[in-house]
Amino acid sequence: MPQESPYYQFPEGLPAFEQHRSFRLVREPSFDPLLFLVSGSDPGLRFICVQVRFIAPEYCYELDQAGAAVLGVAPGRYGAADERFGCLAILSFPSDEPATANLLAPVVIHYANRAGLQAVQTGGVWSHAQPVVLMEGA
Amino acid sequence: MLVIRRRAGESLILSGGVEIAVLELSAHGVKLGISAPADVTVLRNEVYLAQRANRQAAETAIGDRAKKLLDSFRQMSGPSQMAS
Repeated sequence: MPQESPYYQFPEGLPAFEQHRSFRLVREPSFDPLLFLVSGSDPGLRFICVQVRFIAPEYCYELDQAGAAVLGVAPGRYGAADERFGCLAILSFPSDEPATANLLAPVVIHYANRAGLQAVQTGGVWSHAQPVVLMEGA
Repeated sequence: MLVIRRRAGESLILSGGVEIAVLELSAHGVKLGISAPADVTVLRNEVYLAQRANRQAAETAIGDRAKKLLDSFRQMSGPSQMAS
């Protein structure tokens, strides 16, 4: 049975999908640990994601003033393992190439505030097309 | 790549009525001013890459392909966890 989270508000949408302002996470056990990020306005729009801590346990991201305001937290540096937040990497599955994860722009969800955004990072070492290596224990 | 040396206060012109001016240089970076027609999209490169990655991710969010990734992963992983 699929399990669905509440809807999270994304006031800025996602890059290239700015008109989609709410998303929920859907878990289908056969896809664990992958999750589906599904648009509230168009269920046909979905992204396959994974918690970043499962592919890069040491991953950290910056929330600038604007991004922090969206989530209702203080600006600063946060770790992917911070349990107040979901820190998700959107995955791509090109037909003839290995799957990649977008670690340049993690989707960050503040569970308690039911708010989210895609936090595009600057000046980091992570790519928008990082090869996916799921870690043991995910 | 074309390389042009400019100082603060100087600018360069691109076809289509686009002007890029160097406003300020500092240890934190270069502040640019861009004048362009309303139909010209100006994006930070990171945002452009995020847009492109999102479009590709939406087009390729195909369960069968994800299953292939999971098949290799499950051979070495323990019990799964659910995002709260």
